[in-house]
Amino acid sequence: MSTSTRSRAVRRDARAALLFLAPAVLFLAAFVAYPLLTAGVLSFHSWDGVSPRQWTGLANYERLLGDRIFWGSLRNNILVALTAIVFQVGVGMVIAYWLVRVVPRIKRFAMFLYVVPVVISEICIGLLWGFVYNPYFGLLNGFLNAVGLDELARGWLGDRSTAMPAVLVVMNLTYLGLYILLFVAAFENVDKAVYDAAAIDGAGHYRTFFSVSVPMVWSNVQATTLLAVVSSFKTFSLVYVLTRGGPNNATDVVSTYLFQTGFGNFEAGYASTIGFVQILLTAAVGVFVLGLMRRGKRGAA
Amino acid sequence: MRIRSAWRAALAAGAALVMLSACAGAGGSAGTSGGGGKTLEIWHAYAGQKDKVEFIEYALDTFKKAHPDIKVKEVSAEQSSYKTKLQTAMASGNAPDVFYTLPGGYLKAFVDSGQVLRLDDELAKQGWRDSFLESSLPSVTFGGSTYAVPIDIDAALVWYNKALFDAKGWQVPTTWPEFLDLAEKIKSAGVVPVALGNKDSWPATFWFQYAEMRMHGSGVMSGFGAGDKNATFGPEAKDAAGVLQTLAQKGYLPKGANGMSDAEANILFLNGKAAMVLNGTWQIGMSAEAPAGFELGYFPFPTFVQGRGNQSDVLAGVAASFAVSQKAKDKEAALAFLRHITSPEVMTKYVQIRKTMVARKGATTPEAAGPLLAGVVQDVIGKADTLDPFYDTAMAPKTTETYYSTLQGLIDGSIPPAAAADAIENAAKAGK
Amino acid sequence: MTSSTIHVTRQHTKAVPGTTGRGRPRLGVGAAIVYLILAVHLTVVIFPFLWMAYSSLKSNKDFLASVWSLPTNAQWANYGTALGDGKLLVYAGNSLAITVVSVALTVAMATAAGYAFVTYRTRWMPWVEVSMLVAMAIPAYVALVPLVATLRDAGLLDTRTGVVLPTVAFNLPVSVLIMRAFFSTVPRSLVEAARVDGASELRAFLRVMVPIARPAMFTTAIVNTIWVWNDFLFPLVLLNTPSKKTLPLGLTDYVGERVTDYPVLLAAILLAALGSFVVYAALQKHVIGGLTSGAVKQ
Repeated sequence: MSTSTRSRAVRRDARAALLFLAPAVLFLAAFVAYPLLTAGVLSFHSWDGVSPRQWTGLANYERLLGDRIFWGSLRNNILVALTAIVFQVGVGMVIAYWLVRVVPRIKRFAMFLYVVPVVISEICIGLLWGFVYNPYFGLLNGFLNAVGLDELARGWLGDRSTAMPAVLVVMNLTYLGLYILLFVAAFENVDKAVYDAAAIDGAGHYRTFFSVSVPMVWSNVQATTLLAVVSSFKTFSLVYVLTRGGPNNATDVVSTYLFQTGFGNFEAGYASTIGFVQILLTAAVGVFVLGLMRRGKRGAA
Repeated sequence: MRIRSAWRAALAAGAALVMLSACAGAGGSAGTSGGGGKTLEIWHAYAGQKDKVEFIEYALDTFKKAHPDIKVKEVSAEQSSYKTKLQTAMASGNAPDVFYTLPGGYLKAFVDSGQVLRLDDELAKQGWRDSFLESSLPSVTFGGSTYAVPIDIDAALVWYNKALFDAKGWQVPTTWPEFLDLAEKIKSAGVVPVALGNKDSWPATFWFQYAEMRMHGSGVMSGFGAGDKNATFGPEAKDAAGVLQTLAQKGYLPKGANGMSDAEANILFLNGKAAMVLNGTWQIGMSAEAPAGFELGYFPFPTFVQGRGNQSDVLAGVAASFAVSQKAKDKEAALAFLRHITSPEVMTKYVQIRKTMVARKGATTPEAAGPLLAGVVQDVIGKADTLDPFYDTAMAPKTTETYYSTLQGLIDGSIPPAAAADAIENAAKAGK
Repeated sequence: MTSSTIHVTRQHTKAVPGTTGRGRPRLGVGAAIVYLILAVHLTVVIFPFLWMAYSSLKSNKDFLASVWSLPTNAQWANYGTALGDGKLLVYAGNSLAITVVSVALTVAMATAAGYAFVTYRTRWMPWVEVSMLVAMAIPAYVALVPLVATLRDAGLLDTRTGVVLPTVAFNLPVSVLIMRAFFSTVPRSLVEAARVDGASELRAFLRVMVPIARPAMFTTAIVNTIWVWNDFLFPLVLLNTPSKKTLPLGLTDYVGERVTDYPVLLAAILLAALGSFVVYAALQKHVIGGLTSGAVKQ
């Protein structure tokens, strides 16, 4: 291939790429870039959200370094992300495989039911699980008492040691449906001939799953893991409806703390700092996850 | 070359976007600019409950009838989301003409930034100022000027299940030791003595504040708010914190109280699984649909015999108020609405619908209030020397947050009373 | 609950022996165990929905007396109360309009962008990728104040268009991610063949790629529908006029901090969710089954 043809191809590529990307990029520039810049600028100010702002340099960042609640909430975000990878992406992948390959007869029905909690308003999810965890008339304690495990019964959401696990269970059960949906769609897309070949090879489900299905949808695994990690770092609603971040900040995640700081405490400047650091951390973790998974693919291939 | 064509494509797409938004903008603004007359944008948080909605509909309908020349644009949201909405509007310079606001520290944040109209001159006219209960004005007054008109007043007292008390032969206590004895008795009968659902953090504040009021005295937070350098919760704050922690540690509060909503705790109370609750007068409304076998009774917060405070004082304060934006286009119309909503008819209607007291003198009539509220007004409020406003509303927003999480820490035992007292004192000092 | 699922998975895989000649592993003990696990798991997942459904028929008095009991006599009137004087229908109309337009725009742009990321190699592409990732990471709360200011200056505050635009922008990055993942499973040769055909880039995309991508586009549409239909924050701060409210905003009309009629609230929540269910049921069949024998096979 001559250099001129190659450069022509490159130019054609660039022009076409621009054509396809321009709408999305413009939307992001108009509605995402500006807020991002504003947050960046505000993070160096002291601002109550209404009065004129004051430049305070790195003061907010220094405060953030020593802010125990922030680091505690970041730790909770990491917990959310780790459990999401295992119990939403991992379990979602297994259940999706079952639905597509093992029990396709109930695929439609099961998929419909799994999506129900994702569709139901979070206000209701919060209300319901409050009742499930209620120490007096709650279902969970009722169940424990019924099977003779009275010792374990407690005020789940009010106890600092059990509040976060209780929140994590709700989150993973609620959002799992989304991942099942994504993986069913991905597995459906795998050519049936590949499975036939595996079957002729004498592969069981275990081997088929790991050596055929997962590698075939690896790009989806990558995308969903990234989705799980990023949404875990942004998670807000379920924590807010279940505990408001309490008791005593035990279940705060960065978003609930940011909301509390900006809207509850009237510290919009500091809230921007939290938000800006959150964005940087989330993006960094996202890049890390992507890199890790690209290497994983090369290793697997 | 490449870059230039890229820019051209980007520009074309950008132009398309601008055109799209221009069309939409034209369509959107046509609706609001029409009409010609005066427009008044009123924001309020009376949503989410039948009684609140019924009240505001009455207030707005009668206002529109009285002022047919004013075109009212009503914007409503439920209390907790309303705050987010209002703050976003204020921060981006979109303040509504008239807005509902919490009194105290919340309103003060807007006042400090110069967004709220001073009402002093208007209040001086036709004895408007004097029509409000004196105790209701400090929470909307900052630096000697009044910025909002108070609507309703909530008072906290102890509510109990009278039917349950009668059946078990329990006696209503008057002093704190009697209260603790009673709580022990109730606990050993297998009933939770005090229904406290502290997920939203405000319910626990009533316990700390009453104990502080009884042992130290009223007016502490008002002192901090006024910038009094000598303002302090005093050494009694540690004991007040101890009162709350004792309740938790002796098992007089529900298990997991910090994770239970006020509404869940109310379900315990209404079903006889809990015997008492320290709550505002809204408890009357919350008990309206109680299952059979429940009867609501009340008694004043117990006295502390050794306490320095006035033992008849009541924890009570303004719950909501209305203010006018500094930027309001038509201040006349805005003030007319404030006058209307605080008029005797509208305020008496409020009492009738919501069963809480109002700040307007003489509007909380016994007929409108019903027997329970009328009794509270006469027996508890009427005998009070001072009404001490809610600390959490009076505090600067950030101080409130520390106050809340400290009290949660007292309940779960992670913060000892002395440290809690220090934390609250320091936060109050820092919050001005 | 979920951890036991993982545990049992391992057992199950051991329990499955070989395969049959039909090309699909044999259904036997393994399938039975899978049915059992799914039945238990689905019960846990679906219980909230059942509870809501029957609780919405109770009187508030019955509800307060026992949160879990079945209704003694069904109060269908709760649904009438929830519908209000047709307000819920107005809100549903607004939600529908905002959802349809947002989802259509998002899916269209995400499909184009996802395709571009996989197909074209240019020097600036990694930068666009990274900025997408950053955009994905922005929490909506950080953006509220600047967004309100931007939309006000554009005259779009308190308009449905003003809700659609930022909604699309905030859902785009994830949607691009999903579409991109799909396109990278499409055999490279197919893409090249379409392009080399002499057809213009746009035509290759529209004629060859879009038809293949339909299942992925529907998946993205479903995910977006769920998000947009349930979004609370943007409509809350961007809309003022009561008749423009969306369903989630309208729902808070039923949730008071201190006095709540629970059964009516639940009835309203169920009615509000109905819309997404209908859309989901309609789109689901495009995602599963049917299209697997499409062009990807060649």
